[in-house]
Amino acid sequence: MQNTTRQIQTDVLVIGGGATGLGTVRDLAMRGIRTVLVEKGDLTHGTTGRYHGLLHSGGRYVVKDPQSATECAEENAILRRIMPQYIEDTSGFFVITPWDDPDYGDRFLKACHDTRVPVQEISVEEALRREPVLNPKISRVFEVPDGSADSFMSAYGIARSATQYGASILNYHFVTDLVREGDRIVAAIVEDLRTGEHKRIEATYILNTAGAWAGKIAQLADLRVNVMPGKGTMIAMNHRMVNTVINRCKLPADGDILVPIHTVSVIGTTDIHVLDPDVYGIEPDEVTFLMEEGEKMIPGFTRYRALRAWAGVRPLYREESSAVSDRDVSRAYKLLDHRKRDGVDGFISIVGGKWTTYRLMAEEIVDIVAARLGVSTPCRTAQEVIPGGEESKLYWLGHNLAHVEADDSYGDLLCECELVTRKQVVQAIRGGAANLDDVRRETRLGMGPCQGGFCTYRAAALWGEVKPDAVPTNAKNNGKLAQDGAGMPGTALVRHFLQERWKGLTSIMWGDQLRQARLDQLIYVDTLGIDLLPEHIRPPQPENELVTGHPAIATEYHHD
Amino acid sequence: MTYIIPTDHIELSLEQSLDHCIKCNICTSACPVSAVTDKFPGPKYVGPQAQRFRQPRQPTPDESVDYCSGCRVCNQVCPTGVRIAELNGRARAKIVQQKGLPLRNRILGHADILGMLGSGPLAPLANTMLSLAPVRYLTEQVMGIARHAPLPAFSTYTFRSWFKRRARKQGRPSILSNRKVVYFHGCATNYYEPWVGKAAVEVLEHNGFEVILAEQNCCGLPLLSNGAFSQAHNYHQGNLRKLVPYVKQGIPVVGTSTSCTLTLKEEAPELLGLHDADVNLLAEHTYDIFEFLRIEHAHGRLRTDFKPLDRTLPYHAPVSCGRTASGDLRSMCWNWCPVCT
Amino acid sequence: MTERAIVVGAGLAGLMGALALTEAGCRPLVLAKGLGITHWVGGTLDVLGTTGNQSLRVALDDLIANNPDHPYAKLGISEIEAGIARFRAVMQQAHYPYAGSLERNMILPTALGALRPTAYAPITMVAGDMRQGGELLIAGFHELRDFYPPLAAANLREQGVAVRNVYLELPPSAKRLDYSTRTFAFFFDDPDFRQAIGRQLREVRGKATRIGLPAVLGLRDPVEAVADLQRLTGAQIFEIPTLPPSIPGMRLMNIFRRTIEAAGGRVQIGSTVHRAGGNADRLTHLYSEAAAHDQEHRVAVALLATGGIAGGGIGTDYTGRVWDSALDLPLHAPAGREGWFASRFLHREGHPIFAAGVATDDQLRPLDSAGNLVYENVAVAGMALAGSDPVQERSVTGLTVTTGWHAGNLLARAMQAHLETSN
Repeated sequence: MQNTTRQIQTDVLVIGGGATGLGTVRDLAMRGIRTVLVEKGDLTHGTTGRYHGLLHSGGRYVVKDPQSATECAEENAILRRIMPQYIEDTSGFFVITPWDDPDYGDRFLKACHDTRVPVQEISVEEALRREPVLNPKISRVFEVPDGSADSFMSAYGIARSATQYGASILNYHFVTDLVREGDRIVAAIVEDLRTGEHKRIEATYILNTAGAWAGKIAQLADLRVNVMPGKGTMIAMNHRMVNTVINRCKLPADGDILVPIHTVSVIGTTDIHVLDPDVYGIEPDEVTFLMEEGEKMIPGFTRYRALRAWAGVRPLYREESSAVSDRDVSRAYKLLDHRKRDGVDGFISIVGGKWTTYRLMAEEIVDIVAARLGVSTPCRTAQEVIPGGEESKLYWLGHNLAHVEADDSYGDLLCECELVTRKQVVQAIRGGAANLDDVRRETRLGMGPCQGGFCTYRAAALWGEVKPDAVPTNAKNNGKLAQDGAGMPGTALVRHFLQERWKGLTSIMWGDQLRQARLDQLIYVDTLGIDLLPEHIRPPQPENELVTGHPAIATEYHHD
Repeated sequence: MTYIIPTDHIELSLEQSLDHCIKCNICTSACPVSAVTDKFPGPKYVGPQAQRFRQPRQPTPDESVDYCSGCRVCNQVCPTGVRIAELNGRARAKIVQQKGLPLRNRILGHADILGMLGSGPLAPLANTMLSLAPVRYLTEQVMGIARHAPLPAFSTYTFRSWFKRRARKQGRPSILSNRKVVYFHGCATNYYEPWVGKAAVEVLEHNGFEVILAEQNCCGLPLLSNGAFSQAHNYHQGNLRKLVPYVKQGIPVVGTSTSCTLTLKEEAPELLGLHDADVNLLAEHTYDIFEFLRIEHAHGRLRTDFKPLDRTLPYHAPVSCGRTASGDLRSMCWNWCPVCT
Repeated sequence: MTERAIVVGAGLAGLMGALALTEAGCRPLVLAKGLGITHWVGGTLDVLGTTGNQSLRVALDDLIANNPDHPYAKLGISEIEAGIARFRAVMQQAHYPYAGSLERNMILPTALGALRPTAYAPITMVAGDMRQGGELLIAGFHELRDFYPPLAAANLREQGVAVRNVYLELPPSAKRLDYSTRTFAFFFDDPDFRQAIGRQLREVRGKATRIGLPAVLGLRDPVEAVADLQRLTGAQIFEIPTLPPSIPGMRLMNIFRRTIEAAGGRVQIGSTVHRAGGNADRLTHLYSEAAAHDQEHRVAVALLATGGIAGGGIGTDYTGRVWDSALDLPLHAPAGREGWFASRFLHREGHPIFAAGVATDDQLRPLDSAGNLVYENVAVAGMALAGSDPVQERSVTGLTVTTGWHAGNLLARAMQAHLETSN
């Protein structure tokens, strides 16, 4: 292997810094097993950071996927206990609208009982009292313990805890190869995207928790893992129109769920099979469809402000190629022991599943590895609380505002929309963020209505003051945002972050959000003149190389 | 006391108006309160921004919104139409719901009761008392009213008593006409500045209107401003009972206090989430006196036999003018009134 | 009810239009939903963003010759000059003069350290012109979250400018928690504050001959504030515009409002025009939103200066519909949302939707899609016009000021003609 300058030895290497990988590495470390995790981007940069934030009660799967429903119900209760600081107890309604089969209600109720998903029918009046903007024409309402979860913050919390137990977590480390010796995978070659350095990580076991990318990883070992990346598009609406998760009471379909999380409500999702988890875009008709489905749950929905749209790829798994649509592929997870399955030892994959079951998936895969390594320490992740929260207190929406009020720190807010203080941004920059998008995942910087209109400039300026010599990098281009030695990290940071924000905006920009974009343009182009600054960055991708049927609409991802 | 705001449909939803905020800070740069105190982080912060962090079923996370004076300058300058002052009003009501109304606001919220106690023959005594340093010191200590803040002086007679006395003297209304208006005097005119009401009656009668002194309540604005929504709701219901029968006979309600008429027209219905037929009827048929005269003038019915005044008068446009269809006094009459050209 | 000259919008186009109408004796009423563009831009008068040695006048000639639908082409160079001249005269009278020329753009540093071309700037900014030599010092305050000397200086250095940066110490004040650009403008209105800052600047000045500060040097008399600081430091002082709300823009708003109202016009902020009525070729009524009932206005002539998408004059929705929110005039806009944006925020050509607006004849009167006149007594000015994206061209303030002035004059003539015929 070229440039292999360093060797790392460990017991278990975990590939993928999403919820499952992080849960796995923490579980391993808690059982005293030496472990390293590699992630090609920033933590949660894949599907974990791109989902609607629903903590499933299981209700969604009771009819179609009963096993998954029960797993969700059990994990829901556990996660509320072990990571309350990241979970909001929103509760959830399953509502029968005039567009839904009225007979499904009884089936739903029975299936909930069968799968042990707690449920209670409530009156329409009661539901409307609690959620006044809900469609008054709904006929039945069932309440379940849905919640919403912060997949970013929880990932950082899990990672911190894992590190405290001795795990080593390396982000911006891209797996370029898996080394196979005979019928055993013995090492991975990884590239540190920030330095260009290659490292050989030798491990007794390598765990493939790369989610939608698990197929790509397995391929490096000449193994076939049939992951069907299922693209789901979501739209965050500007504020909490509801404070309860709203599900349509019917078989799971597109655009039938509205999740209140943090300051927004997320409507989701679509489900479109894509060939490559790195190549997809948001189509205009997906957005139109979601907006109009929203209208069925909330009359007037299309006149509320859409904040941003994005898509994530579900790591759906099916054993053999078949003709079923993505929607019909089980949401349950699947553990693939390649020793039994393919006769290759030292490598285990886990695919499928959902955020809500990340801990269970981790427990299962670690149980197998521990047994093979002769470690008998039992799993404690269902009992041991992830540190960082106040005494078993669930997250509440007003938390940040109350905090800023108590500190009188409103003059110190860099991101006014999401109440991110100077101190938090400095901490994230010092903590190793590679660019402002990383700062965003840790702090919510730029995630509010103005989408970075004011805070991008402020945070970029602060970066230069905190870390004047650090050159910001960008995982997607496998390269740096600014040339080495170029003294303009601020400009590169601003350009990169505004472009990252722009990608999520083009498909939903109309009304207030279009007006906002024009103001943001007045600020950055007219007043600050960013377009007049020499670029000092790699030439951008050619304009027309977009991954969408509609070339004029920007996509979530460009070709790398 | 809990006042539950009825369901807002999107067209009427104050909360939804926060969606229009583009964070440009124009409101904050116009706010008279944040100009003078750090304790108020400004209308954008406490309004559309903080609103995204408030959840009706959770405890209220912020109290700095209580420094909002409700002057509505922010609404006026906002280029996107966010109902900032109203968002703040509702947020304050929630604080009051949770923590109760402070003594000062409980007292100052009842302009009618205060007026009733202080005005009349004993007004000189009340005014003298309230000008004494020890009394002001005590009111500051007990009620939190700054001892140097100027207080309005009670009148020795009320507007209503003047009107009734006059009617008794004249035996019957001084003018009988098929053109009638109900005069909404409000608390300030009744208890503090009755001469404003006298002038209004004179102008209206000069233009051939019979002025009716209907029973009426305080408009409820002081209570709304202090977040006491239940009591404000009672006041508004009272005004509906007392005034709607006139409106149904085709008699408009005309007021001289822009903030009172604005409360009847818009503030009370919006903040309290009231949108039924009677509420709308009263709102549509209530006029600020300048708005009313302007419409009379538009129809060629206003008597413009003005005498020029040979002096310069200072004029402070009430902020609430911005929301009434007259605009402020100057833009109402500048092209025909010889006084203020 | 008397027919009036109504101006819809209180941005630079509306205010210049109102000024023209006022000066012609038409006593216009300006109705605006709120404040806007003045508070969002830096307050320089940008005619066109040429750089290098190209003459601005030549560039304008080229633009006019090659783009007959461009608003500037409808004005012609002499009307452009007339608008600029009137704008400068008003500012001069208000003791806030603008310097510059149509020959060469001056190059002013931005808060990001970019070198930005502009034709005219308030004299509080012109000492920043990069065509002059000498060492620069950029100074600011930690307390102001909207201006960062190190960032501006780093980028300027990268472009070969000799520059240092410094954070100044804020003298004790009643404000301790929250500082906006307005807070600082209030500070700088106070001569004692200027003394304290001037003394600090003198100490750290070193070899610098010019000192750049955020554009917050007072609302009352910024020219005096700059002069004061120059006396105290011995260096030239210049302001650098930064994030909204813009203090230089507030100064413009105050000056315009005073000038218009003193001459008999009226500016009514907080009145959204949302409905119009007319007959075959004339606009006769406008309605502005107010509590419980709309305010009705009879129209002699009307100027639509609602600012396009930024100003809120152009509404859009998820179906791709684009409309004029005040008069419901036909708009020229790309069909379908698919065609609204380029894939990159900083695309060189800008985004097609931002050039949406009302198409007009050469009298700036609105046309429908077939090219027929909609109302003969309405003119359109500023960002509400189709045919250009002023942000992309760097002509936001120049285009709004000059089209506003021109439209106001055309309407004044139309109004006089109308009143003569109707009498």
